Amino acid sequence: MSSSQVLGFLRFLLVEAIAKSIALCLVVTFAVYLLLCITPRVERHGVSSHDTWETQQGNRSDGSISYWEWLWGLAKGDLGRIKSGQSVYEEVKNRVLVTFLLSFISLVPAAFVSLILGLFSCKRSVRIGGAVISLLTSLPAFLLGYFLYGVFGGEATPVTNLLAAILTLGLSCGVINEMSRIIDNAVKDEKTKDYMETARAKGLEESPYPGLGRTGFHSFRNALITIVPRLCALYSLTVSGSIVVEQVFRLDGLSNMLLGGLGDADTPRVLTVVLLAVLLVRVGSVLTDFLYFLLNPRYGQR
Amino acid sequence: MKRPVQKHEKALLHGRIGEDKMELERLRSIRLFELFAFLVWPILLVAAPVAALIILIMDLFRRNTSKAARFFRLVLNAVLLPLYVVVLAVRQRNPMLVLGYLLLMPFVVMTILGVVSDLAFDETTPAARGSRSVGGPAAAERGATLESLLTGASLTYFASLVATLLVLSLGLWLGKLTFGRIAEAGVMAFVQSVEAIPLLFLLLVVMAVFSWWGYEWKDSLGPSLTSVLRVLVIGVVVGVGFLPRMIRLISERIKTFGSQDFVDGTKAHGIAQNRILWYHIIAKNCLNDVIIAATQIWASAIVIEVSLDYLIAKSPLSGAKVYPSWAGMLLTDEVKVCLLQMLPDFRFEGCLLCLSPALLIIMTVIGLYLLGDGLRAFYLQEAVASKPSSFDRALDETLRSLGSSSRSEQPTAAHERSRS
Repeated sequence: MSSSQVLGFLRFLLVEAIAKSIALCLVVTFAVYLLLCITPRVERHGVSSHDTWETQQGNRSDGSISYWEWLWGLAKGDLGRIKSGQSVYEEVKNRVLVTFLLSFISLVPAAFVSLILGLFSCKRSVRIGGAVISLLTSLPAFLLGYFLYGVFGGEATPVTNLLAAILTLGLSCGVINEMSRIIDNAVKDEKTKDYMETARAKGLEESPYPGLGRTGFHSFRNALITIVPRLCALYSLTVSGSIVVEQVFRLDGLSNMLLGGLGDADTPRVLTVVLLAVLLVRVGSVLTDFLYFLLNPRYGQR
Repeated sequence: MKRPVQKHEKALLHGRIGEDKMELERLRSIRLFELFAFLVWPILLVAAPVAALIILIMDLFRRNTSKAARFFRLVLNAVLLPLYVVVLAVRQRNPMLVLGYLLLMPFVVMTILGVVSDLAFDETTPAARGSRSVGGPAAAERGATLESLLTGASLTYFASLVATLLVLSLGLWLGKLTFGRIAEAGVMAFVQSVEAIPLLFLLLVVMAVFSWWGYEWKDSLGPSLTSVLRVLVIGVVVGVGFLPRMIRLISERIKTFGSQDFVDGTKAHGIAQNRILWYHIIAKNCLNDVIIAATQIWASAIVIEVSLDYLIAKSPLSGAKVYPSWAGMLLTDEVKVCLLQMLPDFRFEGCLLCLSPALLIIMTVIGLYLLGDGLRAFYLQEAVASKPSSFDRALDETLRSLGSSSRSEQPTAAHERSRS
């Protein structure tokens, strides 16, 4: 790929992808803020009104802040403070890493299983096994999760706990169903193209596996052009599934913060978590766009 | 002198809908819809007598002779719909369809029982609940009663029903809008934004807001109103979350079928653009795929709804009443004992009620997926067996006689295969 292509893609990334992400984050956080605003005053148990918190905020006794104050603090790099006076940034910085790792790495087992199911669906055994796996993986995450947690997980073994959580999330967030369908259709579409006839005529073995001497060596890369853009829509499934899996495996991720913040009606905490969730998904989609650019350097050119 | 019987009156007297060829065509796809209508059977069960009464009253004004027959046929069809669809599926030799229906029967029956028990038994005291719990009063304290099983079933059913109906209606309309270029940009922007938001985050925030309102209302209004609102709120948010999938499906199909020859034929006949889109493209070609996708969306909506119930039961949002649900029943201590230490402490009679929510979730989700696959097999069988209708043949002849010289790009076999 030439430097002009790279520059064109970077311009596309900056203008379209990142601007869209910023607009989306603003819209979603504002909508969530509006929702939080219309909650009535209720008696909340166990909420301590810290003196310094109240004097810092001044006019509001329940410690809430306005959307503009939160945005302005965000621009300055200050994410706000929760009810008990601690900084949101301190709470968030370890947890967002956990959620990001969990949701991103769980795409690996999901992609592996869906590749096998999608590529080799011409074989009857794979089709039957694929039907069984799709049925089992379309169940809610906590059913498989509690089983794996009982067998592998626990506070004592954090590494196996995390690995079991990644496996559960990868298998149960619904990515496998969609991805195997997309891969199956993409590979079948590639088989009917003209260049595949040439490949078969030249004596390559008809096989979807991308190895040397097989037609899959050529068709797989072209099939990826259809498959990769659909990945970014599936990443949000993983992020939303990570809430349940973090609760089952007792990982300290964004879900604890969200549930705690909702329980205390804590505006900065909830807004930060929602912003980070949307940002995570957009980061995933920007990375997917970059992957697609590597496959197809003409992407994003005018 | 006796008035000669009109054509449509003769058809009504004989109990058929119409002799018109277009109506007969529409009938061919009705079977798939009937098979799908099993999922809304509880509502049909209630709606059929009401519709029958309305028909009775209207017939009294028209003085038609077959009113009693139609009344009984309507109610009988609605009540016996499950039996009819199972017999149809067995006759088609479609094992997935039969298995799907059998797995879904407990879910549908429990919904009806749940609604009945909600309306009939209104006490919420533990003593009253304990008398209806299988495990005894101790289990009732923890919320693992038969009543909460039934209530959870009806909550799950209605929330996923609202979500699916919203997806079907809004999704079809928004998907049809993508035919125009400007509207397509707007709809695709909406689709991409909704896809980028993780659904459970939004759902939790909305439920939190709703729970706070529900807390304020719970002493003034009875449990039934807040539960109806809860079902509507969950259903609407989950439905909006699944809209992108349906919109993408329909816009792909419209692009595929819009470039075929028969669209030029219908335009040559002078049929309006809107009718071409709705009837010729969507109703005749896409509706089967839409119904199959609707069963899968129903299953995914159930999964998301159960996950939401699990999260709310695990860490109740402050000030909110934890409502009975399947996932809430699973979080009792006995379940953890059952799952984690299955061999030494296995007590069968306690485990049955505790594990039944898990079994029901598994059966419902798998039943819905099997139903979708069975409907797809049924659709393929039907497509192979059916011949082109007389209307299609007339259109082809018209095209040939007009001598259309412009040949649009023939879609490949890949496009015509039904995409799963």
